[in-house]
Amino acid sequence: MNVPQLKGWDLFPMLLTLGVGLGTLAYGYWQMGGTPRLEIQTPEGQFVFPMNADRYFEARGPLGTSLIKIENGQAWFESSPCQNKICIQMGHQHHVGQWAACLPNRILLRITANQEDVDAISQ
Amino acid sequence: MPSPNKIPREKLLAFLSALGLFFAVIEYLLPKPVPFMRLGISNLPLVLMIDVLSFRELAILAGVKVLGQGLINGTLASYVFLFSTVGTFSSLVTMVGVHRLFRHRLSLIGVSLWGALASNLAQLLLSVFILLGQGAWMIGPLILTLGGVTGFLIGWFAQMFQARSVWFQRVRHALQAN
Repeated sequence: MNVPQLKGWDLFPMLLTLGVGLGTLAYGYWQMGGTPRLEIQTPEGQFVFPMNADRYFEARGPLGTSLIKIENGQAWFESSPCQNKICIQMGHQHHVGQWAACLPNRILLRITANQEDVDAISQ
Repeated sequence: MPSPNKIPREKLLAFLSALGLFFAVIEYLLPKPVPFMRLGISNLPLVLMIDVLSFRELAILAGVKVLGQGLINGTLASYVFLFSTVGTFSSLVTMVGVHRLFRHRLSLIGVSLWGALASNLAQLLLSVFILLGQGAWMIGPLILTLGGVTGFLIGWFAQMFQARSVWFQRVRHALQAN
């Protein structure tokens, strides 16, 4: 097995990758703490739901309707019109900071935290 | 009749393009646990040939790779194709740039890492500002970390291949003699 032959400046992109990764991590988790809520980003806008109430949400994207389910404090893509169904394979999300996305249908769901209780918000 | 020491550049380009498409098929067959994630093995011909081919030839390889991936994956008419195109070309421009500027200080691993970083950052910015909104920043840590790991591995493999492959040495000498 060959050992990687590194040169001096190889360290720079490694550190930069690490730095940018940590930076985006810090930005993404900026508001941790509080009640988990589900934010769904669609081409039609952003929708916010509490995680403690079971519901279905039909998110419309360029390919059609993706069905998102919230149940027992977990959220997931129940169905999607995309080809590869990676969004469904990503499974159930329940912790603050977790996310799932359907790139072809331009839908992102992520779990964030908020100090205020929400029933449902459309932005 | 061409000399046995000379390799027609167009034939080499066709072979490398086919190799890139073959790797794209392999990559398509592998499961992807998260969106955006790519092993990047179809970039291997680009990394391997970065100091052998001209920028124009590398751009042709990249273009064929992107189009082929779109056809194989069935994403030619979707946003995924836009992602793939932006990622591949930002990676190519960055890799060629850093390689030409710092070739004595950067190994192929460093070049590949720069390429992975540029590709992933471009795709992340595209997600945030065009496709998915501010929430897409959350995707950053995962795709940057995975991209860093795969970029390192691709660069390492290219480095070993360049050092060990008789075929590669022959191609390099033939193209330099052309």
